[in-house]
Amino acid sequence: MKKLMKKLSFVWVVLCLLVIFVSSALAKQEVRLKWWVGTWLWENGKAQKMAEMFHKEYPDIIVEPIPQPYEGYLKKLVTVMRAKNPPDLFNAHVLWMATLAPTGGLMDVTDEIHELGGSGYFFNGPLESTKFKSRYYGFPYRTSAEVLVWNKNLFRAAGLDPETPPRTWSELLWAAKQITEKTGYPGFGISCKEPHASWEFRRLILNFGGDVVDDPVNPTRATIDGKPGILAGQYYQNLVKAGVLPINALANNMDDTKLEFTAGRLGMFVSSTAYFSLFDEAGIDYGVTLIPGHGYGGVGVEPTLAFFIGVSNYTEHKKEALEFVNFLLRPENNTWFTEALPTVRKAAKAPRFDTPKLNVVMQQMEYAAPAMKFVQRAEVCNILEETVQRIVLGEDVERVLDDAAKKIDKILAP
Amino acid sequence: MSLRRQKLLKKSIIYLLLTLLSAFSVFPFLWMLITSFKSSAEILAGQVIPSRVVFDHYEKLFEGLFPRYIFNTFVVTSSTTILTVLFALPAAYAFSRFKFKGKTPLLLFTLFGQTVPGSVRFIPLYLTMLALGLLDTLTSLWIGYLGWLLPFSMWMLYGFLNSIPIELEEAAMIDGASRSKTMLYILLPLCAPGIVSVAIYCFISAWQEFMLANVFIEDPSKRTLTVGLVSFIGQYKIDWGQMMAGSMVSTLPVTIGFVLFQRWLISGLTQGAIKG
Amino acid sequence: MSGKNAKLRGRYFDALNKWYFYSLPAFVMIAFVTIYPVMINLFQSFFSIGFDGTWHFVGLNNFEEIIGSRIFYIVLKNTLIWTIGSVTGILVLGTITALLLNEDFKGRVFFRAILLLPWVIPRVIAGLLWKNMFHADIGIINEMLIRVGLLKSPVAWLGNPYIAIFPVMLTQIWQLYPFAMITILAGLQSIPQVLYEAAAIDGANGWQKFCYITVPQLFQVIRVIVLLLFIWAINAFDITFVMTRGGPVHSTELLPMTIYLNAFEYGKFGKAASTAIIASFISMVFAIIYLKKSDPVRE
Repeated sequence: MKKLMKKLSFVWVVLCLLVIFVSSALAKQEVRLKWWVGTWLWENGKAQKMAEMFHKEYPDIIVEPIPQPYEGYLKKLVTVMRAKNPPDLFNAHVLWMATLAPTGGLMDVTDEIHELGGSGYFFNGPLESTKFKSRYYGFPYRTSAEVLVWNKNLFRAAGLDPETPPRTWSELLWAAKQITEKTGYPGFGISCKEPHASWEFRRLILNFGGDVVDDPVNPTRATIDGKPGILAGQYYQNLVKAGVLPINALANNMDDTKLEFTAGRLGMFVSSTAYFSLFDEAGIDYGVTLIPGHGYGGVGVEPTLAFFIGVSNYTEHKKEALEFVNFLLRPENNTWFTEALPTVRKAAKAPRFDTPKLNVVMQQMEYAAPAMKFVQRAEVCNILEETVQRIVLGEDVERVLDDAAKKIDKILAP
Repeated sequence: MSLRRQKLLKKSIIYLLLTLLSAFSVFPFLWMLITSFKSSAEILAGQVIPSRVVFDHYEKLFEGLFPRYIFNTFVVTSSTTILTVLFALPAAYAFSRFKFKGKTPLLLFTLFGQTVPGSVRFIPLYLTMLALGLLDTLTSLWIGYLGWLLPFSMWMLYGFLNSIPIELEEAAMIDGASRSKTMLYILLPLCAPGIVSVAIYCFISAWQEFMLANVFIEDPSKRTLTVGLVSFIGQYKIDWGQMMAGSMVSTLPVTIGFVLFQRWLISGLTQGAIKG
Repeated sequence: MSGKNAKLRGRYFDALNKWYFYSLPAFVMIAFVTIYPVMINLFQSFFSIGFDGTWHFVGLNNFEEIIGSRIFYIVLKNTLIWTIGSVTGILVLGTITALLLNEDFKGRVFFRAILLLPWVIPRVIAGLLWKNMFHADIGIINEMLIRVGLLKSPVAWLGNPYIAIFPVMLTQIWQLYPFAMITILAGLQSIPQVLYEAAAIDGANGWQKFCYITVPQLFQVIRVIVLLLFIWAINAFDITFVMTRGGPVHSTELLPMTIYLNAFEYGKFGKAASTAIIASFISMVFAIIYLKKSDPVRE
């Protein structure tokens, strides 16, 4: 019995090894471009469709879309870039540009962008967001802006007019208070966890006329402890004092906040356009409006959000990869391929973007501010996360911002 | 209290405690199960009890590459488990039954590699696989897993072997048995439960490992189950329905498989003792 | 005392040159997968390495920076609570369950199977599951506790820096105690039945059998896995990352989290390497003390 088992396990092992070696020996031919696509795009089969359509026009080139799980994607990208082994093409969020560009794994595509027509071809905001140190390292293909959404049912229940959303931050605070008092549900949700805590807090500081650092592209010192920063911090504390924040606020990022909204248990929050389909699915009666401004009737400023497609700096098929990118960025393809809004000006004229809600989003995009784009961005954002959490926990705003400024200065120092 | 009543009391306490513990372990799975049959809309709306049972998620799972993932994972995990036990057992035996200098330092050395957190060992390992041309093969996975699981498996087997008194083997060897015969017919059956528990440890650890499986493998047809499950987590939304359905599909058969496998293996190993 | 035993000792001694024959395959594999990464890590800790891949020698600077940072001490404190809490929890639950499963009763197989379940799902998914359950506004834990009357108003489990570490620990314990259970059970099952029978013949009752036969074996097994659990606790990452990302104001941040942030977000690979060395050092110190004291090394 023993000998038989030993033999069996040996045979089993050999079989396994055989299977593995055989399957891995499948060779590859033709010009094959590897295209890493985040699964959030993959699900709609669009990436595959694009690849098919491209292959029909360019029969010698095969683009292989490979879905990547979002979880761990940044880690994977950093790993392959450091190992000088990235895929020929890949999609990523522009926020990661500052992390990926310095590795040298992204191809400098400044010339190609100019060939396409630069800012005559692309919208300004998303185009600028793919810049790093004055060179372009990716092609923006998808953009959006976050906007204020509100739950009309809860507005009604709180005695507010469901068609009149707040236009200023102080109106928002008041409306949120009404909702919490009359319905018991939190009136306004904020993120206290990355990657959204820093984004939202910076947005507020921008709205009060300031910024976290003196220059979002080439910062030399922190400005977060200035008046705008203090106003933003105080606003957060006012929200806490008014009791309008979700109880889970300190552990929420925008995704968690969204869960509360789709459950119909949150009055308002600033939401990504990608969530709209989820709200529809959950059957929420919601409205979409511009981010509140500082003074009455003003409009809030929102940093630019975009996704880009990058080309590997080490690819052996430069020409083919660029051909595919060009294909993807043709107005008619850009219209169809993007989930949110396209980056190509001509593409945005398509009727499918002419819905009331998307029109609001496009309007918001006009008030775009540049996102922070320097190598130490991630570290600064984590400091912002800590700052937001400390403020929400009730620490003295000026002291917290002072601390943050000191730390940021230290990081920025050469 | 009569003996019978004592036994009854004991049994009821056992059942009670086990039920409580099972409830603790399993109730998230109940939620998983319910969610896997809920429609996406209801999942988003946070409705606890679904109004109707929906099979969409399971259908979508099997339309895609999911069955392939199960196969891949099974191949990698089984080879890892078998190889790890095959390598770890003799090594543990050597440490337990032999006398030689430098045992403690060597043991420490074995464990040392494991004490360094995974994040930093990661990129160099990737570079190694790249240099060997093993990227995007399942081979890279079981090699990586083997190196990762061996130290702890050795350590556990070492502990188990130590708890078995050496006198039995000495007696057998005095009677003229060879070392290998002793090892096979006397030692093995005694530490059978230990070996099985180490095998289970290897199997489950390899089964649910994510990072290496995610980064070393690119080709979706070679992907493992865990990566497949985690890919339902998107940037903007989590496909709970499919993820839960997938989790159900991947955990229940494995667990059932274990229980059967465990019995078979133990009885197989102990049979030797009876014969010898 | 000589004759036969001398022959036996002799056999052991001249088999000396064979010990590496048995352990060679294992060591080759371990060396292959571990040596290069660990050596590189050691080197990197003395350099400052940016995203562009260039190395600048900075000596002990990384270590100084880490030890000089306020957050480091918070992380150490968290590590202490986390390690003691989760290891104890895992051992206690594992032992109780193993003792229960060691008894002979109907349905044993069934229980053994379902108690294994938490261990089998990927850590990331376990973290997400519990994160959702602990959500203060829409999670079922608060809902259930309020309905049952144990809570008056919802508790911010993961949002309160003073308690956030506990739900995360609970998830870790939930996921890993099956490991302890299986291993301890194996240890219990290795006790030869004859010992119990002999004790019964000598007149020992159930309790005495338990104390003098079961418990020593129990300790033996626990001694083996305590070291492993400890090392795993120090290196725990996935669950904390997914549930709280270091928690409100670093209250659930552990060393591997700091390493991840430095390596994959800040691009400070040198600092990540140094933090890893520190984590490894803590584990090794424990391992050395442990090996010296509890002496499972057979002489």
